[in-house]
Amino acid sequence: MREEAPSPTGARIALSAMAAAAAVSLVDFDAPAQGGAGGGGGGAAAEAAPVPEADPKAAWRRARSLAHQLAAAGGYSQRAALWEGEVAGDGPAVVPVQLYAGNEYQFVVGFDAPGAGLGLAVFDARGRVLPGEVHRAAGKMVTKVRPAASGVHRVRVRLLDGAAAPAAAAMTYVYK
Amino acid sequence: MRRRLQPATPRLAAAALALLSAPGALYAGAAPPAEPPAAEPERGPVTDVPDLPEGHLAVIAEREKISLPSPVEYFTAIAKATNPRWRKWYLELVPDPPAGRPKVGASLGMLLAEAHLATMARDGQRLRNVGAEISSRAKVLGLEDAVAPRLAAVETLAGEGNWGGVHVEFEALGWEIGSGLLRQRDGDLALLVLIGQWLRVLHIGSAVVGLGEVGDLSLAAGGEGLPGLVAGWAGGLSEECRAQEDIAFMLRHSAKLTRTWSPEKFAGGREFTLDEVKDTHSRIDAIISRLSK
Repeated sequence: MREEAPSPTGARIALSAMAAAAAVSLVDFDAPAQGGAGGGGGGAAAEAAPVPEADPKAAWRRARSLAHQLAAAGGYSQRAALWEGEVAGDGPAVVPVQLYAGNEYQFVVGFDAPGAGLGLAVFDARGRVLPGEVHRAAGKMVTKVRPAASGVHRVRVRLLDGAAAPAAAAMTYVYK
Repeated sequence: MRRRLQPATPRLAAAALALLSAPGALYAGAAPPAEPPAAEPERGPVTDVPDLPEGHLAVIAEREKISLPSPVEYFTAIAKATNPRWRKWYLELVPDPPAGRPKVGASLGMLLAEAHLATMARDGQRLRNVGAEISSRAKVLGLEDAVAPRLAAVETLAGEGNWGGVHVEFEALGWEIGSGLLRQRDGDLALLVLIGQWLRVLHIGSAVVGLGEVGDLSLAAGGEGLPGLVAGWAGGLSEECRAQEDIAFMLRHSAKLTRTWSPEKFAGGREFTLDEVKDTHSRIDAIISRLSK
C-alpha cells in the first residue's frame, strides 16, 4: 500500500504532469452534469459510463491523475491520503471526512465497474446531502461541494443502475 | 541509534489499533465520545487485543487516513476567515531534542506542524531550518533514512515555489514516520508523533482564532471531533507511557479540551466563547511547553 503516498519522485513527475494537465482542464470530462451531489437525482442516463481497459490499479490511477489535473487547472491543494475500497451492489461505502466551512472541496473518484457507474454524495452531520456539481466520465467522477459548516461529514460512494458486480474504487479530494 | 526494547503484543497492538482505527472508530458512529478517556481506559486485558498482522493493519490505516484532515486544510479554512499572519506564530526551534523518546516523538510531530506553518507562510529559509530539526529528531528515532528523500523533495519543491507540493510531501512524511515507528513496533511513539502534530496545529489555530477576528470560534478546536481524536490517541498510549509525568499532564489537559469541545455542544449548536478559545490555547501551550523540554 505504500505506493499510495506520492513519492518525492512521484511528486516531481506530478508537477510536470500538472503543468501539462493545466491545458486539459475539466474539458476532460465527456459530459459535465450539473445537479445535486446525491449521486443520482434523475440523471441516470448520463451516469452510466463504459469502463475502458482492465487494469488492477485503474481506480487508483484515475483518482490520482484527476486530482493532479484539478490541482493544476483549478489551483487546488491535494491530499496525500487516498481511500481505496470495493463498492458492492448490496451497500454503499461510507467514508467519514472532516471538512471546513469556507473551503471548496472536489471529491475525486476513480473506479472500475464494468457497465455501471458510481454515485457520490456528501452528507453533513445532520445527514443532509450537500448540494454540489457532479462531473462524470468513463471510470471517474468528481463532485464539488462547499460545506456550510465545519465538522465531520460522510461521503457515500455507491453503485448506480443496480449493478450487481462489485466495483473497485479509489477516492481522494482536492481543496482550496 | 537507540532502540527501546518493549513487549510487542500489548503495546503495539493497543497503540496500533488506537492509531489505525482512530478516525474510523471516532468518526464512524454518530458522534465521538463526550467524555474523555479516564486515567485507566476502559478496555479489556491487553491479552484480549489480537495482534493482527502489521500488513493487515497497514491496509486499514491507508483506508482510514483520508478521514483525518491535513493540517493545511485547517489552516486554509482559518486563512479564509482572517489574515492569520502565519510568521507571527513561529516557535523558537530548539536544536537539542527533549529528554526521552516519548517527548522526542511528540516534538517530531510538532515540527511537522511547524513545517506546514512555514509552508503556509511560504518561508523557504524557515522550512530549511525546520527540516534540519525534523531530520535530527528522526535520527534519534532511527528514521533518518525514511525522512531524507522527502526532505530533499521539499527543498526542491520549495525552491520552485510549489508550496502545494511541499504540503503534500509533509502530509505523506507524517504518515511515513508513523508507519516506520509501527514497523519498529513502537506504537506509543507513532501515536505521540500524531498527537504532537495536532496539538501544535491546534495551538496555532487557537492562537489565531483567539485574536477575536474569526466569527466561527469553533475553528479554534479544528472542528467537531478533533479534540476527541487527540484524546483518543492519547488514551491508546501504553500504561507505562501514560504514567510518565509530562504525558500524564498532557492527558489531563487534553481531557479537559475534549469536554470543552464536546460533540454534544457542537450538535446542540452551542456558541463557543472567546474565553474558551483562550483557555484552549493556554492549555495546549502548557502541554507543548512540557513536552518540548
